[in-house]
Amino acid sequence: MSVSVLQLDLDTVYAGFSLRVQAEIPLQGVTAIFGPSGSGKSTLLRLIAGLERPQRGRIMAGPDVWVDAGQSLFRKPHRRSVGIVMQGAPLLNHLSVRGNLTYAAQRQGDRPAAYPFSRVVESLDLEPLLARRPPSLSGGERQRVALAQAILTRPGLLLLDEPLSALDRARKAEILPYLQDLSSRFDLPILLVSHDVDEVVRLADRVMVLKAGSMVDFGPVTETLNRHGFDRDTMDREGAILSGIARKIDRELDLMEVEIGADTLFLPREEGRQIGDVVPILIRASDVALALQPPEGLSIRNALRGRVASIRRLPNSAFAEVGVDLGVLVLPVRITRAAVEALSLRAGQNIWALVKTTTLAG
Amino acid sequence: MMVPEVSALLLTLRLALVTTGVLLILGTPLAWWLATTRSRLRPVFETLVALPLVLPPTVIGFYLLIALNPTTPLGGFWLTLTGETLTFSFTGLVIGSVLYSLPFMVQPLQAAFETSARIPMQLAASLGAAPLDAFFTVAVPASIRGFVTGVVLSFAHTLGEFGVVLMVGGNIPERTRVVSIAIYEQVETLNYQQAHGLSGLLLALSFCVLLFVYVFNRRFPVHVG
Repeated sequence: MSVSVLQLDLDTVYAGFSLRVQAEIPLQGVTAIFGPSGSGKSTLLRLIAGLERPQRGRIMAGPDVWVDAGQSLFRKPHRRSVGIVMQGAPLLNHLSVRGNLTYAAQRQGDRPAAYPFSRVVESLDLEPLLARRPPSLSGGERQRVALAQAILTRPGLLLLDEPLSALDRARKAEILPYLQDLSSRFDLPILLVSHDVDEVVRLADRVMVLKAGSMVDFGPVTETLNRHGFDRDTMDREGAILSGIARKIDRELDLMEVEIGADTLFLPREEGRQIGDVVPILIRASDVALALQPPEGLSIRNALRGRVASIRRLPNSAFAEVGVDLGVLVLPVRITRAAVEALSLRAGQNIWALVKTTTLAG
Repeated sequence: MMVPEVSALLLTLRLALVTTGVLLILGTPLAWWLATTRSRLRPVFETLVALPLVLPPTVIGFYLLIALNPTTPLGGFWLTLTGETLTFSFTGLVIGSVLYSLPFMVQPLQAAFETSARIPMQLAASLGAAPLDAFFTVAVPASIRGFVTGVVLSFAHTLGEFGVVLMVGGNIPERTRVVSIAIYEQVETLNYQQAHGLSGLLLALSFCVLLFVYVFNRRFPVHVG
């Protein structure tokens, strides 16, 4: 079966700002909608779910027209084959967790169950939570229940609105593995809204970049984000994403060796990673140190060889941005202007970019 | 001497119950519409619903007396249909009480629908629930506090009604003579002991009913998603 497409052609004013998006999103794998807060990401998701109505534009899922404002056509949310986990993962608080799940499962008419109840419960480890009430759940637990609820509606498309943003680091680590293979495990295309580049790099196959309500780019994650930068607030270019290949996985030390060109990085092992996988590696400009010689006697083991491509002293600041050409791309590195002088850096010079392992995982 | 007061008490309770029932049926869709509509007329309807809070009951009673009397189309229609007038009848009292207590039902419901039911309704729709299904299975339980508050306040408010009832219903024993009017009459005839008994009863009843609302709202805090 060929992959169908979600067609967006929206030009609408919503709550004081305009949203302009034209895209064809393949209904396969994970597509991220990425942008700073207030860029219209959530509104776009809610338009697709049918929780908001656009004044102008069309939304089509495969051959189904969901919205055609010109024709006054609007398919109500309960008639769209789409599941959504809203921000903060609200649940039906008057029902138990089990009640929440059966509520979803029972409202799918006569369509055959794509996934048995027990399999969904099992794959999200919800068995111990079934008797609980939503207000007693932690943020991560709510997310898992909301995910299961949405999956049980057998959607043709799953929408996730900032599934990790409300969670602390530990909860994020708890929920990430569930998200990581959700799309393939349930054969479910996912549209993920996020303002966090780590999430996008970890989870998405392709990314749509939104700025102030307009789509500015859409394509494969690594290329698109390297083109547009990805700092979570300003979206300024503040780092780069490298694509490596997993060569070795050490379960004892919980590390994996990832090959990038001629260099090897040692990264914390990610659950589910296999040898030969392409591993996207996010390196922030401020997490890199520069050395004139290969490092010795340092706890930092990750070093990438490169050449100084550019030096830009940032005005009114202690910092300079050094572009290090790694061959595959130019990695922006932020060090102090004093360090630039001390190392007497100049363009064309050979250099080592040192990256701490802990900073790679995001 | 005791018998007429017992019948006044029973009539009052019956009026409060019927009024609350009618308000629940009419007020719920009205509150839902007010909570969800994007119509520009919304503030106009909100004002109309709130009017009984500020108008002297005698004003409402006066207009109703004019609107319901047998020479009007409505009053005449009712007379030919049932052989009874709307004015000075129990039905007339119910109509008056429904209007008079309307804000006490609609406002708590509207507030509950707006704050507690909006997100759960969106969730239910995304889970495949049709609007009416979602309303009864999600909006109603999520707004349960609004329902309890609305029902109890409407009931209590109708118990204490005086002006509208007097204007529309007069003071006909066993037909329109409710407790508040009985008290008024007892005082007028300097029958203070009877007035004391009835007033104390109404005070105790209203206290208990309101206490129930406050205890209920404390015991079952609403968790907004």
